[in-house]
Order: sequence, then C-alpha cells, then structure tokens
Amino acid sequence: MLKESNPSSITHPGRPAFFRCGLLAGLAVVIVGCRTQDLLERDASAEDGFDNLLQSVVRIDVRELDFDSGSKRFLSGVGSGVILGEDGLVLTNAHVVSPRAVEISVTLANLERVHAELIGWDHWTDLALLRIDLAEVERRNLTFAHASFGDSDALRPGQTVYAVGTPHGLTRTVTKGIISNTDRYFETNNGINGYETGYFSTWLQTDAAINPGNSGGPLVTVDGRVVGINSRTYMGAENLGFAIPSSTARRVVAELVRNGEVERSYVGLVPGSLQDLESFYNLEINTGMLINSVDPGSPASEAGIRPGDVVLAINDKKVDGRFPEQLPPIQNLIASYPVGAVINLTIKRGREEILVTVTSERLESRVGDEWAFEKWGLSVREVSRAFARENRLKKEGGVLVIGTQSAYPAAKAGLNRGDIITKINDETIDNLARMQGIYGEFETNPRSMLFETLRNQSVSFFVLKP
Amino acid sequence: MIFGPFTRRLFFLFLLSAATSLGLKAAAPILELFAERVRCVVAVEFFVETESDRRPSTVIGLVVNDEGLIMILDGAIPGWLPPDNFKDFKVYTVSSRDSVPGTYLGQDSLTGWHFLQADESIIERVVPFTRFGTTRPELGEELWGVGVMGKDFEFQPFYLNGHLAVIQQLPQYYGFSVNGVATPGSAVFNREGFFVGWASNPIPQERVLYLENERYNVGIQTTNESGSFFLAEEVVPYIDRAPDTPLGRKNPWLGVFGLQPVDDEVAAFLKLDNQSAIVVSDILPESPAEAAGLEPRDIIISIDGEMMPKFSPDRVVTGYFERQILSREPGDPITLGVLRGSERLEITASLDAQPTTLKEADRRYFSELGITLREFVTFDRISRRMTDSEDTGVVANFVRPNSPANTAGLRAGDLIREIDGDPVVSYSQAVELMGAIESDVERTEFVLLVSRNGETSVIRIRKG
Repeated sequence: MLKESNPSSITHPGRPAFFRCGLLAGLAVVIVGCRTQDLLERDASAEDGFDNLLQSVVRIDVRELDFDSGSKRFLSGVGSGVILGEDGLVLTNAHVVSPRAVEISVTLANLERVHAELIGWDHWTDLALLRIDLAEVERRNLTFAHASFGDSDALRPGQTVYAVGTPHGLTRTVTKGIISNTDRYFETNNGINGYETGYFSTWLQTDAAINPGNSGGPLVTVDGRVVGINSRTYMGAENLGFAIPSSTARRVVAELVRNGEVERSYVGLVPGSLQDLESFYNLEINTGMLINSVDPGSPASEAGIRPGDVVLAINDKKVDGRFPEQLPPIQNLIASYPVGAVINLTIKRGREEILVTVTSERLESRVGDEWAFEKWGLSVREVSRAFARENRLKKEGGVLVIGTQSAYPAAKAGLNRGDIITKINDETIDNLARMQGIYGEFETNPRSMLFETLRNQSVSFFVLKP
Repeated sequence: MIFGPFTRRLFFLFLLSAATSLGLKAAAPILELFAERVRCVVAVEFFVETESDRRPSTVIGLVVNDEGLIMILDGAIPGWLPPDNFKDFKVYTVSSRDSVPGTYLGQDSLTGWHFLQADESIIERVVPFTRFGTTRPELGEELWGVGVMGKDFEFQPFYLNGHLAVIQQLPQYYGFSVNGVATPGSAVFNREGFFVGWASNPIPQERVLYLENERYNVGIQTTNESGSFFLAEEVVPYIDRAPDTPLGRKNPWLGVFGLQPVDDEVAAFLKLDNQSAIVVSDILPESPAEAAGLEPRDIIISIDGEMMPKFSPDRVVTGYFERQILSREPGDPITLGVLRGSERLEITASLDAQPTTLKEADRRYFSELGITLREFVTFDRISRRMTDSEDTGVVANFVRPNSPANTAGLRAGDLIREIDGDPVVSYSQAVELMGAIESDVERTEFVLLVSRNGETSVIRIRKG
C-alpha cells in the first residue's frame, strides 16, 4: 500500500480501505510517449536554475512528542524540504513535521544546521510550512538560496523530472525520472500518522526513485523549477512515487502563511464516480456527481440529501464527476467555501430535480488533540465529531485511550487502547480539557476514581487507584 | 481465553492427585468396563451444504436414551445456519464401517447442544450412558474415557485416562484433568465405571515456543483429546430437551445487549460485597427491557431477589445471566435488582419470544446472479449498530466469487438498501424485485445501493 516515505513515521494497519479508496487496486502505470529533454538539459540557463535548486533543498531533522505509549516520549525522524524565499520559508510534508514537533533543525545546502519553527500544517494535502530562524542565520552569517515554483498544470506524461532530497539520510541526493501520470487520485483516511489525506487534490506520479527520507523534497523540472513536493511511494512496487502538485502547494502555502492552517468547509457528502451509471440516472454524459454516501448527522444528512442523489450543480456551477480523478476538484470546490456558507446544491433524484440548501460546517479531522497523563500511564485523544461518526458512536464527546503503560494505574485498572472514556466519577468527559481538570485534582489529592468507558460499544467500569 | 490463568495451577494439582490415587480399592478390569462403555459413543457424519460447496464433517455424539437419541456438542454443528443446510446424517458405532441414517432434531437454546435421532436399527448396538449410573468425581480421582479415531481408522475407540484436577463453575460445572481423558463429545467415567462427564472442547494450553532464539507465546489445542468435561449433573437434566422442530422452540428474550461484567475493584467501589454484577450497554427498542424501563448503563445485581453469585473469572457472570433468561419461558416475568447511579431499583420485565434469529431468517439464492438475499434480523441491527429502527434492508448473505455482482464490488455481509432505486422495505419485496431482474432476459444490468461499515455506495452489476 501507499506509505509515507519518512522513516520516523509509523504505518498504521488502519481499517480496511473501503469504498473511498477502491481505486488503488487498479493502479496501472501509464507511460505516454517518453519525450527526451536532452536539448533542454544543455541549456545554460536551465543549468543555472538547477544549480540554484540544489542550493535550496534542505535536510530536516525533527524531534517530536509521541503520546502513544501512555507517556510522553520523543521520536526523531529525517525528511527533506525546499526553501521558498528569502524570508526563510521551507516547504515540506505534513508527515515530516507535525504540530507535535518540539525541535526542528534544517541543514542548509552548505551543510550548516539552523533551527526552524512550524508555521503551518495541512495534513489534507500533506504539506507543512516551516520558517528558518533568520536571526540565527544572520548572527552566524549564513546564506541560503531559494527555489521557485514551476507550473504543475503544464506537465506532460513522459516529461523528465528530478527528485531531490535526503533518502535514508543521504543528504542532497538527486534522482531522475519522468512524470508517469499528472492526475492520480487516491485518498486515505489515516495515511498521515492517522490523519486523512488526498481528498482535495490529485497527485503527480513519477518513476524518479523516491525512498524514505525523500519526503518533503521537491520534484523539479530540468530547469530546477519546483513542480511537486515528494510525498509517498507505492510500497512493494518499483518506481511508483507520488508528489503534491505545485498548483496545490502554492494555494496551500499562501493559506498557511496567512492562517497557519487551511480552513475548509464540510457538508458530509461522500462522492462516487458516475462512470457507466449515466443511463441508470438518465443523465447526459459528463454531467453531475454521484453521492455514494452521506455522513450521518452531517449538514447534508440534515438537509435530506440521500445516497444515490446526483449533484448537478453547486451554487449554479455545473459539476462533472464522471471519473474518479474529477472528484477531488469538486470536493475542493465545496471545501473552499467559507465555513458556515450557505451552499445551494442542484440535485437530481429519480426524475425530479430539486434544490437543496446546506450550511457548511468546519471540516475536522478524525484525529483529535492528544495528551498523556503520566502518573496514570495513560495517553488519550479527544474524540472528534468525524471519529464519532466513523465509529457510529451515539454521542459525541469522550476521549479515546491511545496507549497505556504497563503496571501504571490505568493499565492496572484494566483500561486498554481503543477504550473511550465517557465518565469519571460523576463527571461526563466530553472533552480533553475536562479530563485534564480531573487529572489536576488527582495530582493534588490522589484517590480512587470510577471510569466509565465504551469498549467495542459496550459499557465497562474500571476503578483507577493512586 | 477463559481458562488461561488457571491452567498453570493444574500442574500443582496433578502432583496432588497422583499422590491421592495410590490407595484405590479393586474394581472390574478396565478392559471389561471399556468394552461395555464404548457403546454409548457414536461417530456422526454429515455434510454442510452452502450455495457453492458441500463440506463433510465428522463429530462424536453421546447416546442418551434407549431409542437411539444422540446428543452433540455446541459448535460441532454450525448453529447459525438453517437446519436445511445439514444433509445426510449418518451414525456409525465405533469400530464399524456400517452406518445408519440419522435425523437432525435441532439445537437446544439453553445448553446449545444438538440432538440427532439415529435410525432404530442402531438400538441393539448402542447403550445409553445413563445405564452406567452417574456420580460426581472427587479431586484426584482416577478418570478414564473413550477416544475415537477418524473414519479411515473405522472410528477405532482408544483408552485415555487422567485424574480429576479441579472442578470449576463457568457457569456450568466442568471437570478438568491435566491430560486428555476423552475425544470431545465422548464420555468420561471413573474407575468404578460410573459416568462422570461429557467431554467438551479442549482448553488451549499456554505454551512458549522458541524458534531460532525468538520466544513466542502460543496456545496449543489438541483436536481429539480433551481434558475438560461437563460434570454428569450438568448433562443428565438436559437430555430430554430435544426441540420439537429443527428450528427449535422460541427462546425467551429480554432485549439487552453489550453485557459486561463488573470487576472486583469496581464492585468494591460500588459497595457490592461478595457478589457479581453486570452492566447493560444497550437496550433494544421495543424490547421487554425497554418496556420495563431498563436503561443503558444500569447495573444488574440480582435476579428475582437473588444476588448474582460470584464467579472467577468475573466474565463468567454474563453466561450465567444469559442462562438465567434462557431457562425461563416466553411470557415469564423476571425481576431485576438494578443499581442506577446511587439508586437501587427493582424492575420487572415480562420476557418475550425472541425475534427471528439468523438461522430462522428467510433466504433465497439467485443462482444466475450469484447472490443470496437474507432477511434482515435483529442481530443485523445490533452488529451494524443501526440505531434508527426505521432503517432496514436486505442482507447479501452470499456472493459467488467472480460473479458479476462480486466483480462489481458486492460482498457477503453487505446490506442492500435499494434495488434499482427502489428502497428495500421488506424481504419479500426485495426477493420479488431481484427475481424480476433475474428472470427478465432483456435486462443487461441493475443497480444496488449497498451499505458496509456505515458507508453506502452505488454499485452497478452487469447480468450474466
């Protein structure tokens, strides 16, 4: 399966990939007429551009907090990145540097190492933005180059590209390949350390060798322009690498600089491709987007939208979701409305055409905030709305146990990974802060506490003793 | 694994039992006892037939009366399949190549045991176990039982022996011997020849396996020798519970699910001393439990005024509670003592007949389409966590591998919500729609809306 190429990352077995990513099984390499680029490679300005790019690629070393084991621990990892400007912004993958990073250091092309901080993070597109500590750069009298973006929309299959990065820690490695496909679609709901990715953009596919550690490094044209950010490979296969196109990256970078995150709208529709179903729905070819599933309790569900409905237009803009590759732009169109926007959907249901109005919510990840209660030997994650829907929990709220440390109070009480804590003594635990409050009381006044949990949807009680 | 922690103790007990068995009084020679008693054991051969295959199965049965009634362990015959799927029952006496036909009578819901009527021609060749008298064995007592080899060995019986190591209530009383004393489904006797128990499935033994310096914890389970058995007192009272029809009688039903035991620490915290308790996770809508006012998270502490006894391990109490319900009749009242928050309540429910079970559910195989449709039952609602009682559908119970439906993405277990855009409202309507699709030669394709893991998908299936 697809795997992040950062060695520090853990691939979760996850739940079986279901309808949402049924496409991968059918991945076939499409190589269209390989055009040679030798002429361009001789071009002097292209050589300058490529040299400049090499000076802009950095190695990134990260130490991040990990809560998985019932305690706070540090994990370290290595990835790659590319400097975007004199302001010291570095673009990398969300799975290389996450908000849990506590120490980020960037190794410049001249092998000097400087500190950096996380500016913004977007797991949905697997992008993260760092800023090099410019004061340190100035103090130590260091210099760096920066790369410029190329146009990923102008790429053609067969075009020569290079991947630059730190595979297996081998700093500044250049590998060469071609663009294998410009518009690959796949998504996974837990691909970025448990976070979702791939719903709102397609990927560039390349046969340039991409290995663990290449993550976050640039995919560039012969003149050194960044057309993609290398992100994933298809494990077990050869030379199937995937990069986030620069068209997506530019948009996300702008948002991350402004906000530190990309706020997206959510309505709760799970689309499917209409391919071959047009006659069943009495549709013209290249019209509409099929709704495969509607998240329970979502705005779309509340508005009465049903699986099997076909969206013809979104705010009067016609949509065409005939093929799977066409779905991310439509998803992105919905996501790009401001949170709380009123969105008019023209829907075909049977013979009828109806207009449905939905008010969007803020898109949330299935992964909530995490924390470790070290005296209890218990690490937890807040239950997000998306997680509650996914697991068909009747009520939102609660915190999920993501790890216990053996022979500590939580493990001794019988709590297990996967349990959802819903109540402690008489207090309903609807968020992490509530639990942190109770832990605070415990620290000042240790005493036995009754935990009410859901385990496989069944209610269990446990007594946690000091 | 229920027995895990306790198997380790068996070695101790084994030493103990070896010491106590030295001073036995004289009894009939084993040879004599064995030759007589193997006649209460039979081998039963049958086929389980499904849409695409027919699987042979051989199990061991116990002769329970003079008319050739045979009892078979729970699990030896799949209890979730309709009895129509079981074909060609043949009963063999041990050391024999000849069989007589058998008729499947059904499964008793309380014990889970299956009943089979062998053809009367077998009567002179078998003896019911009850003929030998029964007794409760003592700790350390020498026990022996009948092992039975496979069909290729003509069901050759063989002698097994051991000593009673411990008796445990789980919630039925089981005896355990350190080593195998009988093939599962066969009989266990003491040295005097009294029937002491019916061999159940063996406990997996915890073992540590070293492979090239790697250490693995493994559970090892033998298939034809078991050291665990139901004590005679758990067998004799139930030998007349053969159902009137193969589908069995309607079970009494309360409508609670997600029962979880309360552990010692929690019981102490709740000030429940020296007794068991059970948490109820969910109450089914329109069930007797709901009508009686039982609520999710209620903690049940007593049944009809009797505190629930303590068990080790704690989780045995859920089996005890279920047996308490099943030993009643539909229509019977049951009064539960309930702890709700700090309140103690008495709640009386009137048990109902259980809604349609999996094995009772109607099903129809559409052989040209390669799909079996099955009626949607309460079990589906629980396992799919469908909380809205309006939600329904029909289950794709079987999808033939590589059939067009399978290629299009339909999987066994999918819930079909719509057929060609028509919402599925009942099993009979779904069967009608599917039948029309199958028989319409003009049709080249059809469309299903299916639900799996709470997510739906539209699937287009080409015919043929």
